Amino acid sequence: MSRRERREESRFTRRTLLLASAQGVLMTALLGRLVYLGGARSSHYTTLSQKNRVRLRFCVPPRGRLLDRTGMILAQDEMVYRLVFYPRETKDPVGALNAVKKVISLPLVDVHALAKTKEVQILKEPLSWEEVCTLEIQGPDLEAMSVEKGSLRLYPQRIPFCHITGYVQPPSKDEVTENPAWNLPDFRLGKEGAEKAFEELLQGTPGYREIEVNARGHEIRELTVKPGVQGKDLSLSIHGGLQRYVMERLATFESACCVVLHKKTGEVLCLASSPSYDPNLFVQGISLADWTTLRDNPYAALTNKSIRGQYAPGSLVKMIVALAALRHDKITPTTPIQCTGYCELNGHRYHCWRTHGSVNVVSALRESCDVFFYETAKKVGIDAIEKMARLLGLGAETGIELYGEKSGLVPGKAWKKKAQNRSWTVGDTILSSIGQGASLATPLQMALMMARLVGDGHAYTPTLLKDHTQALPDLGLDPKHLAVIREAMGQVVNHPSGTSYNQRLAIPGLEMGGKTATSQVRRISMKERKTRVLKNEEIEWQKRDHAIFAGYAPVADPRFVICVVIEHGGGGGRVATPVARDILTYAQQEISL
Amino acid sequence: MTPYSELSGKRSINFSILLVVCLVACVGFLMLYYAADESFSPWSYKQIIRFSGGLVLLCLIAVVDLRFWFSISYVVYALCLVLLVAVELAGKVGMGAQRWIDLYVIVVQPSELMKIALLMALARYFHTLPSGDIKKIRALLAPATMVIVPSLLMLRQPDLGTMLILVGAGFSIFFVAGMRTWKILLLVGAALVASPLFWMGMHDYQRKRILTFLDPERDPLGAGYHILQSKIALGSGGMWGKGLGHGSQSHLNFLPEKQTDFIFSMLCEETGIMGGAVLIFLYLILLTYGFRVSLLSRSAFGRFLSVGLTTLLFLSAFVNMAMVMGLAPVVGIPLPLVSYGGTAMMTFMMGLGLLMATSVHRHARFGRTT
Repeated sequence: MSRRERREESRFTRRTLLLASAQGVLMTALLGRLVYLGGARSSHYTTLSQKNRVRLRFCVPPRGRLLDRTGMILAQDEMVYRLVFYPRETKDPVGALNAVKKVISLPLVDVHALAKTKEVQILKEPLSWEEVCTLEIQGPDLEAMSVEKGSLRLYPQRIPFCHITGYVQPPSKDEVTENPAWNLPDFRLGKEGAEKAFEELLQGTPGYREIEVNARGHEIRELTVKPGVQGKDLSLSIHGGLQRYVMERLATFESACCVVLHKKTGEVLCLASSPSYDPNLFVQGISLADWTTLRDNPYAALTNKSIRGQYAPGSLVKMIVALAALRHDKITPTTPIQCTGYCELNGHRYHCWRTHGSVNVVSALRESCDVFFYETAKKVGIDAIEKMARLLGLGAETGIELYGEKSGLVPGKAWKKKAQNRSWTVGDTILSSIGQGASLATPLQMALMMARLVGDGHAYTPTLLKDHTQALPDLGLDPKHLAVIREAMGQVVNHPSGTSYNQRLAIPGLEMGGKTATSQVRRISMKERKTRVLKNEEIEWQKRDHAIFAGYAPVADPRFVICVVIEHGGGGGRVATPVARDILTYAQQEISL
Repeated sequence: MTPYSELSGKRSINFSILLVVCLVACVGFLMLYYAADESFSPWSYKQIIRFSGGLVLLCLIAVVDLRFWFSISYVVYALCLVLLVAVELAGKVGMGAQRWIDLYVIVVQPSELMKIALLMALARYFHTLPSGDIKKIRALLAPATMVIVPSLLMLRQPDLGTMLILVGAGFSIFFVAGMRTWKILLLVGAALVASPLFWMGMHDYQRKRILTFLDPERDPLGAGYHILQSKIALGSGGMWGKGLGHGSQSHLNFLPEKQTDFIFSMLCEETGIMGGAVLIFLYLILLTYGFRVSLLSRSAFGRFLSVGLTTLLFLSAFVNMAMVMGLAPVVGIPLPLVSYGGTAMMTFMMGLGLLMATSVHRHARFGRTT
């Protein structure tokens, strides 16, 4: 071997050893990396692998039921199967949708539009049993699809109760919160009525399913199910039988509403607004045709008029004026005032509907004399009247749990300054004293006022919940004054000269008391007064007066308080009183409270 | 061919190394069995058959006189080059890359065969190179061409991973053959300068893989998905693993191609660091054996060939494992003897056969020409 060859050989050995050690070092480095990943970073990657394997699918808990006070089901969840599409769990949503279309027939869906969304979608609901079976068999081949049990809100009592129950709908885009359940396709949010008012109680706590999936999002098996907490069942104060009866009774009119309260507790026994609609229409999304029909209903079917309808309270204000006058010692129960058919102020005549002669507070209320109250109001002043009106529950929301309650309007000096930038005049006081002018009240407010007038001087807040206990602050009214008013209201119906004597409740022991009101919709012109005031039947419906009756029964020891409003029904006595009478008869005979 | 055995006594196959080879292959069988949810089909039984065939091939190659392999080196190289060109012309497109050629009997991946053929050709070339000629640049032109031509063909297919391994293993022969250090440095410098050109010539998916390699979390559901999922599999295995058949990453298909390129991830997920370390240790035994063979070999051909083959084994194992550990871009290199795949198995069995032939015939002396 030559020297050169030897040198080459030693260089070979050197370099081979160098190469070998380099490779050894690199392999050891791999081992180090392995120890790093599986040792030092193990918990991190274990967490990631858990996350990979397990997907959480939140599920909406069953919503609490709504029951009436007798246990009648007003709203409940019904079990249904549905096909749910999870767009985030597939890379090929179009393919996934087309695949499922081959298996079951889907309602007309635009696959490409649907494929663009990232939100979880219900593709079909409810699924028939055959479809459920087919999908379960095909399940492993269907990407990002899941057959899930779900519930559908059902309102078995339908139309008569819709203004009480309201309805549920999927939350709108701007309502979505961090609550994971809200993003689920079957999540429903109360949009109206008790469903909205008691949302938190009814909703429950969302549960979840931990499912094992493969990388393509196919569900392999269910690991755990945490069902969530069912929403609370709520017993409402509503009496189902009474509600149904009232809705039938009101159905004879174009547009009417009625509130019945339990006098002792302020519980709402009936909250009726006619016409009405079927809340079931809304649950799965209302069709455009149905929506248009409801929206364009001339009698405002969508509006719960008993809390959102505002009417001039008319003669009901007379009790307020009387009570304010008694309270401030401007009159005694026997103070006489002469009714000459009108009251003149600054050359302007304020009319009474007839000439009553000498009247006191009881007979003036009984016969609905306007002049007595014109004169009394002038003595009392608007401030005291306004204060009394507010004390009895007008001019502010009553505080019932429902949303969208109107507050009505109690006119006064501050209001006029603000609204019209003009000073209050005595003329305004005179108009206000009979509840015309700017005065507005909802039927619930009028019922509440009646409850406070015939109550024991406590402030009830009307409530929709059964057995709801509430603090009852003292109104600070003199029971003797209240007794005078109650006596007068009893005579309105039961005294032969009372305005509602002909519509009295003649069953012994069940007699009712109350006050009629005619809520003027149009202004009677001077010209018309000179010739002849048109009768309601002679003018078009929208311009007719509202007929109102607010009352209670039985007169001896009131249990029920009622307010009936027949929109554009004409004179209050003739139209609204018989309705109230029938309802109070039913209530006294059917409800034991 | 003159017999040489009278000088050193009868040499036979090193059975303990054969045992190590079998152990490595068994790791593969086991993982393929569990990858198929405790079933020999579709992977494990085929792999066993191939390995058995490969074992026979290995032994056959090992007992044939090294001088025979020396003599046919260029022919084999030329044949493989023809096959590579054939792939270019009539290759079957699979996974977006033209790598296979259908020979009607088996589907051949000529780039795999080329690895062995190139090493044989280079070893032969440097064996025949007159002493001292290694200094001359002219002497390096021919072997450089031998490397560059198949590399370019592979790049066109495209088979970036195999090409890099081919170049790397080929270069190891240049290195031990005594290429001057400054030339090596020059070459490395030139490669660095050329890399932008290289970048421009790459396919989109290759670029994406490299970018993803640099930052795997960039797009965890896109191109970075494979690396990330693989790291999760490796990391979540811990010390002893989740148990065979209980790897959620592999069994829930989070791990891509768990039976081929990502089999090491599955191994580590199910048997932990210990399982991975055992396999690395087995590879280290094989590498040590390879270098030992080269140091003991009397012929230059044997020395160069065994260094080249050992480096080939090292590079394949290293790149695959580095890849699944997130240390190298995903280039599609199978794990030697473990990953499912016929051609790769045959390549390594042939390579190991040649290594053993070098060992068996390490005392063979043959001149610069035959």
